[in-house]
Amino acid sequence: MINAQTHQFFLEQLAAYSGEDNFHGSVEAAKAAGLPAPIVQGGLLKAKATELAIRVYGDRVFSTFLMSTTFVAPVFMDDQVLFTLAANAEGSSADLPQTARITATKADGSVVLTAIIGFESI
Amino acid sequence: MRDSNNASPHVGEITGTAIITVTDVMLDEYLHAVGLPAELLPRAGDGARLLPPDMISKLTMGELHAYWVGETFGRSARRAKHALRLYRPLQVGLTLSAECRVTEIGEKKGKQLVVLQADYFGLDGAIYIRDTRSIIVLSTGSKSGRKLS
Repeated sequence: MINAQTHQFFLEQLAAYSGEDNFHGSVEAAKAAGLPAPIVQGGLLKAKATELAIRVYGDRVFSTFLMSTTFVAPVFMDDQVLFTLAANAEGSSADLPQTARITATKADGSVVLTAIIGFESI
Repeated sequence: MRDSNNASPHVGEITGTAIITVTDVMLDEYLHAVGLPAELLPRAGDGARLLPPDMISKLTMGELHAYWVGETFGRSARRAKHALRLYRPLQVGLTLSAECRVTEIGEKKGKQLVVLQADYFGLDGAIYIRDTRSIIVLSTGSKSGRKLS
């Protein structure tokens, strides 16, 4: 079972996600906004976390599903992020009895995102 | 769109509305943007591809809340949390309508916290998605000069 994957966020992908006319998709726009580099969109980080959930749990993610995400720290262009999934996290409920925790960390070990996912049992 | 730049944001305020019908082209563009392989998507019984759970939120975020947040808080707003609940599968061809409201205005660690919630309904009235997000406002001054209630 795959329970981890690494992704590096290049400028091309940031621009594809939200265009080149803002501080996500343009180095110039990021600097004008006082940022050291284009900042990775929270939605894009969440999409990569969701991809890991899909690779682990397959079609179940497309039916009844809950994902509660906390954005801990910013991620910038060219950062490499490791997404890991651990099953049976806290937060289960009667209608979503199975849960897991996804944690995203940069190469230096700092956490940038945590998420609890829940879904129906088979 | 806000009624007035002088009115304070308040609980119950509608931040935006959206109606969307997802096409195969929209799905392919989304898959390209997030780098999700198409072969990971299952198909519904009628052959239509199912959508990743977070795709609809991405496609409607501007109309539902992002423009409102920009108008209200400028660059001082930061997304802190996001909860997405999928109640039933989403597939290409589905039409959903949604309305986003302010559900809470509070304070956390000395900063303003604003919670926005959008429910997405199908044409049959069934709920498909509940999207709840918390925004931290780093400063009390806003781009538009408005103050939080």
